[in-house]
Amino acid sequence: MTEASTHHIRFTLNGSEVSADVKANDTLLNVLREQLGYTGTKRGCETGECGACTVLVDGKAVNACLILAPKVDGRAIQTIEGLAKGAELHPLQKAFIEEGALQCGFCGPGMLMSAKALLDEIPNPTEDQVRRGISGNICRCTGYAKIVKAIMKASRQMARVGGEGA
Amino acid sequence: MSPVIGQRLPRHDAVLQVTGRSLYGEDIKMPGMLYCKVRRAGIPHARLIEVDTSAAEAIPGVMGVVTAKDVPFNAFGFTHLDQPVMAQDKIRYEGDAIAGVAATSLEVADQAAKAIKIKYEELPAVFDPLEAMKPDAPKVHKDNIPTHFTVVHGDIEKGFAEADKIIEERYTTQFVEHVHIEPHAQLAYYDPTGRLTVWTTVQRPFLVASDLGKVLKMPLSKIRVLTPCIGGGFGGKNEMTTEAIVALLSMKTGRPVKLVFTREEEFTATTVRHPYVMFYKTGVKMDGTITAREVKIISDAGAYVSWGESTLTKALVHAAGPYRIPNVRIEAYLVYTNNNIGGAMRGFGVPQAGYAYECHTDSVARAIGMDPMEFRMKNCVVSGDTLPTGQTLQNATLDEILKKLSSMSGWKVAGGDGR
Amino acid sequence: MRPFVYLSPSSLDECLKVLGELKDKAKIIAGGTDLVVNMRAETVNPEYVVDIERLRELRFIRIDDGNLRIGAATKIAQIEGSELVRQKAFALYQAASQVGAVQTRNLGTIAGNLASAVPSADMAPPLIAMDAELVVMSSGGQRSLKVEDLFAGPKATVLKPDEVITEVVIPGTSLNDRTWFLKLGRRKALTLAIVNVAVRLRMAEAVVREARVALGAVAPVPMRSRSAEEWLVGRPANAENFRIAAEKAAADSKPITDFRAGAEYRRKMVKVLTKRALSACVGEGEMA
Repeated sequence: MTEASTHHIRFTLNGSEVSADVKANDTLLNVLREQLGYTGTKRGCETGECGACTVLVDGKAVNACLILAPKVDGRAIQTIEGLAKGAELHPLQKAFIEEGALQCGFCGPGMLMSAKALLDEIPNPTEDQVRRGISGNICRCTGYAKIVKAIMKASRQMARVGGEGA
Repeated sequence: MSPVIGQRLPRHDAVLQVTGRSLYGEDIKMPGMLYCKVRRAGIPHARLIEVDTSAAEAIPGVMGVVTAKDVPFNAFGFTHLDQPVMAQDKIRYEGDAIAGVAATSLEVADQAAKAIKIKYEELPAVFDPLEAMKPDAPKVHKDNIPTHFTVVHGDIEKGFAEADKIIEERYTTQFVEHVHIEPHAQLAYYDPTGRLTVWTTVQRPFLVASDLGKVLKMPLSKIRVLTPCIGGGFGGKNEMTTEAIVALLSMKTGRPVKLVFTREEEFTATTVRHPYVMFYKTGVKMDGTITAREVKIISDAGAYVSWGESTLTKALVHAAGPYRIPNVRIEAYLVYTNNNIGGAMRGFGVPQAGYAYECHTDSVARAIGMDPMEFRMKNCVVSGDTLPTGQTLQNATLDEILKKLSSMSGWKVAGGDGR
Repeated sequence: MRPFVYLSPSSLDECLKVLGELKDKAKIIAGGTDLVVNMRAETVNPEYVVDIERLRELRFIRIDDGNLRIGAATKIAQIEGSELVRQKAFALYQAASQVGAVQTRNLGTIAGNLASAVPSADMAPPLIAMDAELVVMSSGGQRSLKVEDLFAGPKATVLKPDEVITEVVIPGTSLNDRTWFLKLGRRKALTLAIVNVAVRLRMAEAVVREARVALGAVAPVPMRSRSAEEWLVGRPANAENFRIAAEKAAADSKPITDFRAGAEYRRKMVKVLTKRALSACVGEGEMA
């Protein structure tokens, strides 16, 4: 059997420079969870179907389970661990708590990262755009209605804060 | 005003959830931890002749392999001790565990599990519970009907004799997999003092502890089962699965051992909602009075009983529906097949029966030209009524619910067409 | 996932050279949304994986000599977001917006969707309907290949192991025509098509002058319904002719029964979607 090639990769993780030695057949999900200890990103299906492992690569929401680890060399990666600024929760996180947009919470990290990517691109989305934005994330406790409500609420709050600042 | 009831309160662990700090099954780690893979049967029905683990054990990085031979008492189950920790002399469904491997990496464990050689003689399999009930059907266990219930209330023959019309129907429901987004994950550590700690994604830690005690022949005082945050269960994490395999591997290697199911294993080697076949026969008078109902339920248990008996009893109690019926006979059979094991799932047997009796109620109403809502209102149980099981109801509110539903939905009862 | 050697060539030339040397030992990866899944399931086990995702030469959307040219490694999400595609190749925009979900569209590429050769690939019907061609390169040179002729069977193409798709070219002649794409899946997102249909119509005074009807997920490979196209050409664009064309498309389709849908249902849906797609191409007031 072929030996996997190994690669020394460097990337930014939630704004900090990190490096890792990875094997060709490692996925970004494994590197985050197993090597770097970032277990906030969840493993659900490993086939890009559930969205639990959603992270942002260069600002775009992607499935970490589908990305070969060597591919992220030089990229900027954001995970759920980087969403809050220290103790200050992101408006999305606050809205998820206030609206009860979580039950078992397992889809939460992926859902929040998809929502972040959406609001970064479309600050004032319609409900339909929100539903499209999270269409790659499955919730089985079926809190979709509350999740959509929470994202809409966060977008309104962010617009208000942004407006005040402007 | 109550400080709790009717208030919107944030979840206790909400901040941990939104920051990714909640620890779920797979997030638990220990130093020196080994990775486990379970070798599954991959065939539905066979006589197991030999399990050869030598090739797997020879792979560098493999620290331990266990098979049925290593299990002190190889049977467990909530009501029936019919399920082995690992298959002993028979394979009864594709998801049957054959062996467990612990290795220094998941990759090696996976390679080793595949290297295990299974020698077996394939047997004809049965996947249809109605077929499995026939005397000449392949035998999954000694007897394909592990349990059978009958409920008799009143005089069914007399009831049908009084009916103007008799409506007979057959309803079936399908397998449903829970698909909790979090797969099963287990970490076992048998420490040097002889105590076993198991972290596992179950909804019933104490049942798992007691089952572990039985199969490992260990006192419960030495067993600690801990549940991390659970990423969805819906009944799919209601019983022991492979905790004993992981525990045995920890005992054998002296190291913590961790197992995480793949999504494929979630579909092939965990419980599903039982498919039911339900025969309904109802006698009714033209004025809408129900005179008799006969129900026969066949539940596909799959390879082992697990929660099959418990869910079937619940279905049995509900099978006649919330309607006043003086003469009832319900028969319920649990039947082994070579399918996935049926287990608990939201509603616990009732959704299958509810689907059947409510559809059937519509059919009966239509057969006598009565509005289905009016028919329900006429027949629904009220406080003081006695159910076929003998329970006398107190505080029954179905009539109020039906009235409210009618007005909320704009259902015109008088002269309505039923749709 | 079995071990393999990962290579990330820094230029297209280097990539072609590597592929020329490795031939069938190598698999090309772009977004990885299909390959990684297949490698994890160990149904595809290459010794080498050659990454083209970073090749800037393969990432563009532009009009050149009147043709719309899209680089092979262009993300589906970029196609979805491209105003140029939306204006010039509406059905392709529609298809791009319905591939997988947000995450997979951010990873997956136009050529990857084609080269995986899944019968339900959403990018295939609109590209076939628009007579799109592929530029295919190897260390030995380049050739062009119609998208329609790319597929050899389910998950199989006519490409040689050392060949790589570098560009998708939609001819200028198709860019002013009316196009429409419709997809039926089991869900609205994150789903493979049970049936997908793309149509292209060129009209003059409410009469159809040129027509393409392309169908996906209803045959071993994405296909054209030639009898539907022939029926339409020269006939008035009206509901009755669209209905007949849709029936012909259904008759041309060769669907199978699988866990997603039965053959009979698929065939019926070919008719429904073809009729709807044709009608959608033509405004209410423009019908003959």
